[in-house]
Amino acid sequence: MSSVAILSFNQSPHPVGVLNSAELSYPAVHGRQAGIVKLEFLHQGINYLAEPSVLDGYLFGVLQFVMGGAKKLQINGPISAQAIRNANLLAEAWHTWLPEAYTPVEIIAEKVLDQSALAWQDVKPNRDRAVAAFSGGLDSTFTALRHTRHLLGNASYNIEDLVLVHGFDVSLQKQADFEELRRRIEPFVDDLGVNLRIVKTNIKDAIAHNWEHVFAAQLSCILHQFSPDFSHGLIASGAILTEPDIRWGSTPQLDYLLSGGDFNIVHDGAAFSRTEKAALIAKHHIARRSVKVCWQGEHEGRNCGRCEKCIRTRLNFLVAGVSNPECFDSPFDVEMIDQIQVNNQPQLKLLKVIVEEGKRANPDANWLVKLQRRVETLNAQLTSSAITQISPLSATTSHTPLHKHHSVSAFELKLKIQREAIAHFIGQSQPLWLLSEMPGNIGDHLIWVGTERLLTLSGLSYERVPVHSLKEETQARPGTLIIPGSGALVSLWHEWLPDLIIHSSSLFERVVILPSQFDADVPVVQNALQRHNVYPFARDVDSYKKIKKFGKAALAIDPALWAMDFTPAQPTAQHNNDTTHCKTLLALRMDQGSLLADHGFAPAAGNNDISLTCGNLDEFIHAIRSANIIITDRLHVMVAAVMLGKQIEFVDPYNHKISRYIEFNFGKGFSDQLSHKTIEWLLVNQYIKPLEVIK
Amino acid sequence: MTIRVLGYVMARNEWPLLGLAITHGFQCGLDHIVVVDHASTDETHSELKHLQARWPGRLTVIRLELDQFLQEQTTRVVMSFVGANEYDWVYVFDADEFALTSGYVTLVDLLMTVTSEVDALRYEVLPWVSPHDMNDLDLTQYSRIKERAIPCVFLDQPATILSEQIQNGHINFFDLPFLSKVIVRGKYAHKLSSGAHQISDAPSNIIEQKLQTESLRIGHLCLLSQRRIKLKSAQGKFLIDANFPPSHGWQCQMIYNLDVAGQLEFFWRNHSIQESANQNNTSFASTIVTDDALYIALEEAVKVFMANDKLTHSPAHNDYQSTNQFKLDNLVKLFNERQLVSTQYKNQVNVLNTELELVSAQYKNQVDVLQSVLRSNSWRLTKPIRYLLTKARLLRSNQVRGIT
Repeated sequence: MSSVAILSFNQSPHPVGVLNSAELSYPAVHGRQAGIVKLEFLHQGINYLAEPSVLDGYLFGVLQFVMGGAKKLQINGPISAQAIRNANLLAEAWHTWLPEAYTPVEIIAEKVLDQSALAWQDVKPNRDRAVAAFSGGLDSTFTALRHTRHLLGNASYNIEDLVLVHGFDVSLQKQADFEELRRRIEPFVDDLGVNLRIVKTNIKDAIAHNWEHVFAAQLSCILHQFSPDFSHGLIASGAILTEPDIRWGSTPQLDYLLSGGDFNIVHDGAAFSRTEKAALIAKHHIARRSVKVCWQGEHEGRNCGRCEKCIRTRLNFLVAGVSNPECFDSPFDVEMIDQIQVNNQPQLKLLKVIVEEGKRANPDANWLVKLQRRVETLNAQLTSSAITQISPLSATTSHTPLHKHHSVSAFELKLKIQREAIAHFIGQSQPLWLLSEMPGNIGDHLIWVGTERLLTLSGLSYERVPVHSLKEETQARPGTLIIPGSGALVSLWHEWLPDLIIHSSSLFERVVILPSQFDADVPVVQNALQRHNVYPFARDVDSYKKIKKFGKAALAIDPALWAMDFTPAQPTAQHNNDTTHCKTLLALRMDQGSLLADHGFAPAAGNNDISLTCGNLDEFIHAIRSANIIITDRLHVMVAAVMLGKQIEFVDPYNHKISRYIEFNFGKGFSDQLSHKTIEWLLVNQYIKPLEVIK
Repeated sequence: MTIRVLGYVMARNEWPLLGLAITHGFQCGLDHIVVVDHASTDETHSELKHLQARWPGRLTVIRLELDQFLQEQTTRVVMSFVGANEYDWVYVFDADEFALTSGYVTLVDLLMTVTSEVDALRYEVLPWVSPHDMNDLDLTQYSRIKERAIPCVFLDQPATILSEQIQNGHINFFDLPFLSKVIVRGKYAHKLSSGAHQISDAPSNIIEQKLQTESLRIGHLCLLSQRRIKLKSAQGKFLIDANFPPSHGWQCQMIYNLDVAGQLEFFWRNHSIQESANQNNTSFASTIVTDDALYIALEEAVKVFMANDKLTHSPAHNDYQSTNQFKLDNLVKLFNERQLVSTQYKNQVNVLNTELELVSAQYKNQVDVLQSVLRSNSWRLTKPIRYLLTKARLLRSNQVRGIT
């Protein structure tokens, strides 16, 4: 059976405009049987539309669909070399994120045009004209306003036309609703002095196997159809740069790859939150009336005013200083806040952003307390119902998770409770100072990132104090010094931290040592822990029992576990003995914490002690993420691997360090990922060699 | 100057510990003690009558037959019932708590030194640890309790997490500090929260003084014997069967869970002292220190208490219970219902307040808008035109009416 998808293009006149159509013949993809589909794009209200010189847009429009099973995509027409290169990069990205759903395809075309060839064909009257996709929503209204009003000066795009698509936000069947939307936005478009282009299409209904993955690509497909007259197509960002939304159809990182040889796609406005966008829109009396954000209401042409997105947008405007924008038919009622329901963490995060913005704009607002309570409630509901979250370390995330391990959700709840308890304790004596630039290997970086995220998630502000400057410090400071979790208070390593704690205890009101490992028999560690204002957290039961004799101790989860969100475990059939078919990372210690040398062994060739060899945390994470199975005696390699959903074969280094850690921090959770091995096992499987052989 | 201090204790099946606690309370100088016997089925009911004979006119015994454990409601009703507000101070204690002061200063002596502006005194509750084979029914054995545990955990965590950590053997129950409590002026007795940890709905200007443990601390026999741990397990089962949340009486629920898992003996071994071991006990899983203060106090109380057995029961002192007990049950129930209704009203008032704030904010917005218009340049610049228009309208009006 053929696994080639074939795309061909046609243009024909239509009673109400010009019809661009693309016929796609496809093999079995995304669980669908092989077939032929005709994708139609009716450009309404015009008599003439130049045919595109290349079919780049159609390539992007169908790419993710055919990646669901086809091996080749054949384009019966010209295509730019740039589009093929970009499509290939895009395909690699989606394959990396979701290898089961997307497989890269080979792209072949009747004619591939490079830049010089395109230059010959370029007949655009003006190379600097832009067309912007426009749904009437907050994001696209913001983009249209700021560029047509030249708010960016010379950096503004010269938007001349806005494109409203019928068949995306408003379904094809709802003609009346679409007309209502059109009437709603026309005054705004008129006021901007630009043209409104209407395109009616069936592409979403026909081949959008997952709308959240493909919506930007399909939008770019439509924008590319204007390439004969325009050089740029703007897609308004729905993301925020500080919260990159991986595996989402439109991202500031990847949307540029939807550009072709003669038309650039621009992802616009990612640096602005929805509230900031609302603030600009609020100043425009027509835009305030025209904005339409609702997709859950009965009428697709107007805002229902009561769904999650409507209420959230009302709150955006409220923070921006407008309590009742005219785009909503009914006034804002503070009781609406209690009706907000969210389905995923991205939605919840947008509400959290509003809380933070509200605190800055008007901390005494009566609705703010109510919203904070609601967010806490929704947060608890989401945590307990195990919805995946976006990772700050760009680990992995999915908006439509296929599965989520039960132990992860229970563990997330435990994390949340512990975070609140620790934050409450730390927050009792402010200001907060966070010890930074500590010596440590890359595994320690995971703890530092986790510590900062713990503080940020808890709404605690802090200032970093580098180790070297604290050593020189002699002036007392108010508040609490926070020392991130560490392994530098044990018999093997205690060269600098205990002394620094002793010194700091005379400078700060309190010194809090976040969950760490302790050897209380070391005199200088004892001395440090006996200080009246030093509060040590232990990250394992053994350490806790050793330090509680000093009168102050608490057991708490390792801060590294806040560094990123947990990825569900990846099933690996070859778990345990047969690891030959899986990519394996052998990451055994090469320092004095290893027990191998004591037993007369050393790691075999191919070992990579990534805690020492990686240049930064991203490399460290990447090394783990790239493997299926991790074999290690490094504690934080094991920790990161658990968080990334990997299978781990671990061997204890000194002091049963990993086993003790797992007992308290993970309990019986993650037992399907973790397998405790012995040195004999390493030897049998040739992960280590006798020392003399190495010599 | 003399002061009157009222003691209050509520207990269920706590004999003979309750008798010791009451006796110790009188030794501390308490003027009067009110005991609420919450449907005890052991000797409490009969033995309290003996104790009344030992302390004629100073011990009020009230029997409560309610199934529910409405501690706070009962305390509030009883405090009103017995005229607690007429006392200078009210000290609420449990049957396993013993007030320990330094030297020869009694609790009442200490209270006499407190200045008049102080409304409440906050004190620490410290746990003592029993020998592993402690028989709490044998009063002569109380002199063996000489070790005090030193709590170390500074992190305040939910009861469910703590319970899990103890059940897993990660932490010891004695590692956890107990919540401090308050002794209050008589006028606040009816506002005490459950467990006397604070004054509920306290006015903002209330003055609370924290006592150093050298002045006053409470010796707490929370895990006195294996027999009493079994009683806690039964209480835990009752709470779980009655669908109380895990946080309600979490210690009893935890002990019941350990019991069901066959871990109670192990738990008791880690929370009692094996005397067979050396002085430096290694089997005990928490940090302890030798402290004779409780032993000395108990020894005195045991002497007096054992002397009670020689006295006979005098029915004359029991009239209070026979005539009033039925009223108390009803009052506590009524009070509980009233509290529930009151909470509902409070919620409604809160909603109305929120609405009021909203309306006020809207009104303020309107005023702001109006004021901004009045202060705007356009309003000021058009003032002459408006003046002329007004004059013109007046002129026209006068013309119409024929005025020149």
